[in-house]
Amino acid sequence: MVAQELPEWQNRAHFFAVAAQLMRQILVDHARTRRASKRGGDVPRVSLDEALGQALAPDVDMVALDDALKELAQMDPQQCRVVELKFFAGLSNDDAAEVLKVSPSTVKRDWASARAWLFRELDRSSAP
Amino acid sequence: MNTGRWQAVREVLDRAIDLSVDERSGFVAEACAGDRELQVEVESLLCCYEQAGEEFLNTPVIDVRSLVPSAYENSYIGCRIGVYQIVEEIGRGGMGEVYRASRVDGQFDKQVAVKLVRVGLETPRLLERFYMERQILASLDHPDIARLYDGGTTEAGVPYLVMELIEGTPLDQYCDEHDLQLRARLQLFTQICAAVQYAHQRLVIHRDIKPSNILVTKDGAPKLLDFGIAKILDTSGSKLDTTLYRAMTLEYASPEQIRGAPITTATDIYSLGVVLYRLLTAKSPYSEGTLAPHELARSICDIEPRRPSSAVPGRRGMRDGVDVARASLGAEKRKKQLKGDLDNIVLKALNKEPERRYASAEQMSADIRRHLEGLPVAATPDSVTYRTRKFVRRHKVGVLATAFVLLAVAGGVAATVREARIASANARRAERRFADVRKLADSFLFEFDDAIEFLPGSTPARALVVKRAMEYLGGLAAEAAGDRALQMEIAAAYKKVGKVQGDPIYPNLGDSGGALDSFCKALAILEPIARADPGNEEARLALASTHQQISDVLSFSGDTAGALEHSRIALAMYETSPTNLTGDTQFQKARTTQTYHYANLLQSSGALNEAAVEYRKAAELSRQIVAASPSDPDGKIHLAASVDGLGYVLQQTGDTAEALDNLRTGLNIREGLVKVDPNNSHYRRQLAFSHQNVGLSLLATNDTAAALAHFRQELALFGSLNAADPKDAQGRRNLSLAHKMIGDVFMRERQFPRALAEYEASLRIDRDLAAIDPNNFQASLDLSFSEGKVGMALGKLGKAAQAVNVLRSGIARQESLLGHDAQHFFVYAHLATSYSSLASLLIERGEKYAAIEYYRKAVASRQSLSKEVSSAANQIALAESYTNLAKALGPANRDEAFEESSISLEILERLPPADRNNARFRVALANARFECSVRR
Repeated sequence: MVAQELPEWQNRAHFFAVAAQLMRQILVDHARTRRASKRGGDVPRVSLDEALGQALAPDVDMVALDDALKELAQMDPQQCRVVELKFFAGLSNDDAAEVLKVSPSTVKRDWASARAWLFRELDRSSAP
Repeated sequence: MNTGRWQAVREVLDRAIDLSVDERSGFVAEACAGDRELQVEVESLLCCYEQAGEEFLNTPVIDVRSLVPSAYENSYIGCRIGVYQIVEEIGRGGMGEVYRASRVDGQFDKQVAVKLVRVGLETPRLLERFYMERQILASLDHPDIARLYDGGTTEAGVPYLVMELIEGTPLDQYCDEHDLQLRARLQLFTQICAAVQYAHQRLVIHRDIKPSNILVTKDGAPKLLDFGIAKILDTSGSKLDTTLYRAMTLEYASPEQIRGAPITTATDIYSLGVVLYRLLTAKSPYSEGTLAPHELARSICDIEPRRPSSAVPGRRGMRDGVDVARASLGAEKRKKQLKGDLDNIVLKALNKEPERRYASAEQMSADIRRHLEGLPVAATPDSVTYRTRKFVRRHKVGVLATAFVLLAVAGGVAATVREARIASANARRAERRFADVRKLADSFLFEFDDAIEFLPGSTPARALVVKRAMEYLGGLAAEAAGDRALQMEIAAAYKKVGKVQGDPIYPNLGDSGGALDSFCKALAILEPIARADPGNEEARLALASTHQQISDVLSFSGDTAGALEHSRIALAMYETSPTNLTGDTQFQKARTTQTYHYANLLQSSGALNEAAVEYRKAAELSRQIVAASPSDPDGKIHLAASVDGLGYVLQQTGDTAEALDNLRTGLNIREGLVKVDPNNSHYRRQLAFSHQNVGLSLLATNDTAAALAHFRQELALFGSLNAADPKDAQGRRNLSLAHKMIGDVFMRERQFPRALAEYEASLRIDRDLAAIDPNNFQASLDLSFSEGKVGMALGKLGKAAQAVNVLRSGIARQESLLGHDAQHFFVYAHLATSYSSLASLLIERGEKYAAIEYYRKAVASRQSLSKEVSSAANQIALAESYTNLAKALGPANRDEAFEESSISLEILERLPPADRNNARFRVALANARFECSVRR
């Protein structure tokens, strides 16, 4: 007997994958706009900052992280997705493994070296 | 760093990270084998790894797992739905789950598939459509179409469909597993066409034809599943209708489905074309590999499909598993077989323009048969490609635009934003981003919440979804200045959150403070809009309904004055609305509802005569609605509610006969509604209340047996509703009330052990509910009632010590509620009853002085109540309490006893003749006279 399928979000994994990318896009885009408006002397949009910038994002430079992630995606696309899933969507190794269809230990390894590399990149970008 | 270099670094780095810090440097030196550069790189990264520590990136920005509807984890296995017992799950997806089930009544041996649907069908209109479509689908009777047997809503309001259970394999998998040759595949396909044709002749469109919806049984017969299901589940109406749903079945979707254009039988022809394409080539018409949804959507609208013959992989392209080519004599042979007729047949079905496709499934099937027989086919190359190109060129802009709208919610936001960034200046980009966030928040808030609202046990998940979306909307509110549409949207969102938090009318989280807060935020947005633009009916009505929601919450929190005030404001908005003049039915319904709400509040505040006036108005308005549209259940629902309310008020004012009359009218209407729609849990709940009302009314006429029968029906109805959704606080309260009613009857019948059992059942429920929401006025009051009742039953059973304890607990609870809201007069009545009950118990225990004190308190409470509500019933009750006090004072305090009984007599004798013609008055009078005479 085969499953009689239902449409829409195919499963949790699919939902996670989409949500992680959306979150990254929204946060980074927001951070870029904020940066631009600070430079351009635009009217500060305080409440949106609160809702999106401060409330959701911990102490990380989103723009620098996004730039670094783009480079990481060139080096290893899967590692980039691991970061998206874990950082931007809060997934556990097991959930991320389900999304990427790899083993949890692969996720763990990808995550460890990605963090090391990203830390260095972000450190560099924040240096004067 | 390039990929190769990074992989080399990781070779060493990954393993080094797993080692202890001490072991690392030795390992790295050895592993890098003299590659100095590599060693420096790895050591640098190891150092960074240490510095990054536990914290870096380990606090996610959001935990999306909290947004996943808990329904993914829910299971109905073992539950009963309708007459079916759920056996096991056989499939699931975003729209719900499919279960194997068998009939519990053993009428048929056959097993069925039960599909539970995760879409909100909350309005009567959508439900009605659901039932209507279900009728049409149930009439499809074809050997190759899975039958739809039944459908309805579960007790908790979740729609479900009962379908023929098909044991089979998806079409594409079947063809591969059985190594079907081209001819066999085509023959199987023509059989599918015949089934589709049958349905099309009955004007049913499948809308979601794909291999997984076509199972092939062991006998090799195709069975089409879910015929037309997509339509009856498409409840979103004109809303960005969608998107989520369509995007996910994208591969077989037609251009018109993606653009949101009208769906016709040609839509199914297109999907049949994709299915045939896949059967012949094992490929999608648009790409070698898998495309991202937004790319696929664009291709479907925009790109001409490859000819099937050119999609068959060459020898080098042949791979394992699914490739059809492997099953045939080889790819080259297959290419030759497809070239010409079959290319043309498939491409004709895949034409972008619906009118250029085959006019029917039968025509497509006939062309395939002609091809099999070696006859010329109707499809020609000209009819395909030339027109397609032209069409796309003509519609290019629109096609792209609609595809983007579609994708914005469905996962393509990223793509949209990217395009926008490349294409436009800063200002436009900001605008786009803003729109994206808004859309995301909207879809989280409304689509997810709507999808799970009616699932049993989904309330915590709803709260999380709503909370998260509010974080976005809270940010947007400040930016919305001047943007009316957005302001209205945000107000609607606040109202929705408030509803989930604590609107007592709906299943809720019991957070009345949070609800009030959200509703006030909505008011703050709506009021300036309505003020600035008095002609804006939408804003005005949204404002009115917000006032009523506030009123509901206040009323449940015990602030009767505030509740009345807000309800009055809401009603005034309706009564002065220009829409009154147009006779718009929807508006009339809303106005009736509002009138009813107001009457209801007046009633509970003790203004019985004013309440009766408003109820009569509501009943009159409802009768007009029923007269205008007799088949619309809404009018009847309103009418039943109004006559029930009127009956209840009349009961209180002592007009027993007219009360019973009205309540029976209500019961009859509700029985009719349930008969028409037996699975509707709302109707059944209302019917249960009707039984309660009629039972109470009968009790007032001393027809105990008839009353008990009604209460039993009430309890049974509430019991089954509660079993379906055990977490619903309102449902549990109803069950508790039903137990109280039955307990009351047993008390009257002096069947005390049975009464106690009912009261204790009620007490258990009330305790739980009060613990869940300690600030809930009603929950505390309910608990005090059950304590009082248990106490009285215990007293009758001679367990005086226990009884006194429980009664004292109930009294303390009611006294604290009195401080909470002095306007809530009815607490005085309850308190007086509790004081008297306790006093009479104390007398039995010989604690005369304590008893006298409580009788005095009872008198004081009755006085307070009479000052506010001087109904005859209250006057009689006041007199009774004076008599009781006199009786307790007895011979030892003869003077005072005489004084109190004289007051009692005086109160009774002051009553007008109309209020004297009842048993209670006569008994009270006799008692007062007796006390008076013996103490003189």
